[in-house]
Amino acid sequence: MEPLLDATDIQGHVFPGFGTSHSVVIALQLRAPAEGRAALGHLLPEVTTMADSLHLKGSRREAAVAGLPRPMQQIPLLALSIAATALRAWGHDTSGFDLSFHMGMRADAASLGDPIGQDSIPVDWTFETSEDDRVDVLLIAGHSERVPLEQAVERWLSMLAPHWTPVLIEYGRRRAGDKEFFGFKDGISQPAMRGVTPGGEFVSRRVIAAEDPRSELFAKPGQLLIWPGSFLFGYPCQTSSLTQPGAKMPPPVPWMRNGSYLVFRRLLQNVRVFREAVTKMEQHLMEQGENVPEGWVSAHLVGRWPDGTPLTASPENADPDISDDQNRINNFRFFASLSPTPLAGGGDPPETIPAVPPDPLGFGCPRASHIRQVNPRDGISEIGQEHHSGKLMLRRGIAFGPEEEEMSDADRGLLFLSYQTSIVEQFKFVQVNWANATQRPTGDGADPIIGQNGTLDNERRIQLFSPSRRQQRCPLDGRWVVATGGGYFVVPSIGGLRHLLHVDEESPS
Amino acid sequence: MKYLPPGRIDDFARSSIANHLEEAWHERVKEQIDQYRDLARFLDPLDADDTAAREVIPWTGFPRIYDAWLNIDKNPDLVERARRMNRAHRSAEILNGFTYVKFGDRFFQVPADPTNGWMLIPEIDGEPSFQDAFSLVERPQDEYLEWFVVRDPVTNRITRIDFTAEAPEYWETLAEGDPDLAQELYSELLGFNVPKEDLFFQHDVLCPELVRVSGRLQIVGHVRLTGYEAGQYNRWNKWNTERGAVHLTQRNNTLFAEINLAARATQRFAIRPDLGANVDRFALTACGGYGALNRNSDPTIGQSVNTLALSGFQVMVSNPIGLYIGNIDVSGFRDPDGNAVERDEILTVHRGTFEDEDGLARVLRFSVHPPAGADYGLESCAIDRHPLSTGGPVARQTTVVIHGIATPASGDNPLAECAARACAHPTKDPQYFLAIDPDADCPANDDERWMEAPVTLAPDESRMTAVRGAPRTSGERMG
Ligand code: HEM
Repeated sequence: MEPLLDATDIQGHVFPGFGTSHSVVIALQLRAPAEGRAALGHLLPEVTTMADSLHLKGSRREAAVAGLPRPMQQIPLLALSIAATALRAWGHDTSGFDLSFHMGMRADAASLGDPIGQDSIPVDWTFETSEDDRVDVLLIAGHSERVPLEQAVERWLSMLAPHWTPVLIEYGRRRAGDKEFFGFKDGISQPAMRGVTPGGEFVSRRVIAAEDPRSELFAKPGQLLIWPGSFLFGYPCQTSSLTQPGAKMPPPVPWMRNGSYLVFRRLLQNVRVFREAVTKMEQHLMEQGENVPEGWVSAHLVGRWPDGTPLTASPENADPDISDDQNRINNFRFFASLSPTPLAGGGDPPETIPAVPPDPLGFGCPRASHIRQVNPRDGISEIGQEHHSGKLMLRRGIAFGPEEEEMSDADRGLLFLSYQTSIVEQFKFVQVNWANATQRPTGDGADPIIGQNGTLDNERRIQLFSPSRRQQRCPLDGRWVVATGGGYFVVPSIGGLRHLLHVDEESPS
Repeated sequence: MKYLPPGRIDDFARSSIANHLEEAWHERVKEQIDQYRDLARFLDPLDADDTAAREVIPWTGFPRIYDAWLNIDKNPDLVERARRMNRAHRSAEILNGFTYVKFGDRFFQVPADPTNGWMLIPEIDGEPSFQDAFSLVERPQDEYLEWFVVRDPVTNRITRIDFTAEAPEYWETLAEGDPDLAQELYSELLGFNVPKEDLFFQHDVLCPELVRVSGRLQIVGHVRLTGYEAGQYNRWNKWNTERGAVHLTQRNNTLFAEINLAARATQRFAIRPDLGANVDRFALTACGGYGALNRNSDPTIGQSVNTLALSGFQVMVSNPIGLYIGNIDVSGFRDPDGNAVERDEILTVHRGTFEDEDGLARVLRFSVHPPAGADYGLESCAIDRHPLSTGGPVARQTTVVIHGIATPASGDNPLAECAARACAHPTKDPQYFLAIDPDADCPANDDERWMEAPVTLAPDESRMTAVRGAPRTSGERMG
């Protein structure tokens, strides 16, 4: 039995996310604790619930199935999360919370591999560097259109002034093909949260035929089902036996039931530097006598072709038959093969998606590639394959900044956002123990996209099998992803926020 | 080409018989390698050239068996989890006393027990000297990483925790070839003068010979233990066990066990006839009958090597064959005031390097210590909130590696039957396994084989009651 999720209490950005075309992230600083708390309480009725978000997602799906354009939204979607500094300003003791949350991201920056200056402040950070640009609250909002979103932001800021002042307002949008700025489709692989709504529906749609044993492990093919305790407090957590629920994830304080932790990192993407590094690596391989097709190197650094086709499923080239098919684009693993998967839907014989071969050594998808380092799936790592599912998080990344053609030297990149119930065991583990480490989860080098070692030159070496299947070690120095600040937040449920912000449940707002 | 000392360490160069030592080590490794040449996918690392594929095989240095037995993942509550992990850390530092007995025509390593006479007996002047009965001790840390907590004898502060991944076989070769050099190195590594005679057995050693008499084991005499003759190196000498850590001591933590495991894992096992079979690392280990099921190390090594072999490669561990420390993450270190400290101030690599001439990590020994001049001991510091009163928190952040090497194979790899299968404990998380005959049923949930702790455990702190002064009205009095 999968747990009933309290969909009217859980925030909708945690699950299933907003999926809006336009988004904004607003970092706010608290100026007056009591007044600020009351002012924030006025936003509470606008905070989007999981039920709202699921509904919106459903109507988008229906429109898509009917071949209609994405429906226009009436009201903006809003998520509200709170840093430890604000909790302490309101008299809460944060020492029993997640250690990273309690300390704050600035204290973690060195561990995360951000270069640190003389004054022990991360050199590239442009906010959250001191008390003056401290971030106490993060608002994330989304809308199908840009203008109404801007209007909502203006309204919220005036409701919060002068007790809150903005430290950062960053708009983002879905780019064509959902591509991040290095040109790769993002937001494909997400863990599928287990659980049902009060209406009895699975919150993650199951598409594999029930007769196939994989229907108990995956929602869509390749998309692992994860017990909600990995993302929400108060629900059974993930254990190494995938189908069995673990104990309930205890909230650090009672009002965190149905809540989560949010990690936010504003990551600049220096596209020019990335391209130069890719060209250099191509040259390096050619000097070794390799014939390197156009686009081969960057796809192998990511682990997918630009359109999202996984290298494991299609090592030679992008394949629209795979990338256009929701059921195939994420259907792969590394250690063992996948036999053909029959789909639910009553066909006789059932519609079946093709087998995918294994790729344990990384002939197709390098062990050092981004997607393989941050999620080794069933592959080999220092912690053992049975623990990998516990490291997954819900990613809600948003691309920000103008297109290169619009303004070539402007800031652009990814507002990295992830939800999890342990910052230490999930986000931080993945960034530090896997992406930054040269010997884990593979000894083939640090993550070529996000791996960093605290230095400005960020010398890296990655090892992969070349187009001719020779193993090559390539220098890959430089920084194309640079964190400019961020924070750790709690994401209480609606009820939790009500308690925290002293919003009287009885009085109409 | 010769088999090189682990980590290309240059101890031998300090000896007047350097060439002899190099040759002795080469011969010793070769003798091991030669045992496996018949395996279809076995590769002699000396036959590999620059074109060979390499794979770093990593695992976590803290013994998985404690985490499994103590169920550390069972309860996600942070406080409870920290308490269990702390108990695991303390347990992993309890030395095992052991001895050998002879039963049938084989010798067994068993827990020492003076009450039933299961002890080792030195033979002095041709006679067993029963009043000098002794046992040996090993560390129970079984992930090819062992450590020793060094305290200041006056203040009792922890001044250092030494970690080693060095093979006992190497030290045996070195010490038996050049005892003076062994003494010198011991003294350098431990920081005080180690008496040479302590490193060697002073007398031949006898052990009990047992027979079963009406169902019970009885000692019927004492027999000589080969390998423990007077003058031979004692890998469990007190300077490497009770007083320090120079190299690995745990019975399975040997270089030749690594070679054996890697070689045997190259076979094609019935449970995984081809690369596509989805078999977890524990099931594979049980089937292969190599290594210990409840470790991080052996199942990971086996799985990696087996995957290479099934992918069409001949496989082995590259020269210099060794067990290495590949990565140490002390970013979670906090001093008593909760401040982070630069890595270089608290971490010293003593032997080996993170960047060997072929670019691979081959650290053999390191220590963690307070920054120079600090007025506190490690016991008041923490890593990720775990107090450094034990080495466990560092071991958790240490990745141990071996370096696999592979060249394209041809020909058949015959199918090998399963030696056993892995049965998972009904409730433990991380999973705890027993190896069972491949055709037998897994033990029932209430089977007594599930009840017996596989390791010695430190007391659970929540069961310890704090009392003021000495207990008067209750509690047992000693003596
Ligand atoms: C600017 C920085 C980044 C870029 C350009 C980037 C790009 C990508 C791309 C193109 C994908 C493949 C699409 C998909 O599977 O969804 C991906 C997947 C992923 N990324 Fe990133 N990423 C970035 C930062 C991060 C960070 C900081 C983390 C976590 C520490 C992270 C974790 C993940 C995870 C977990 C996946 C899914 C892997 C899977 O399940 O197969 N990424 N990323």
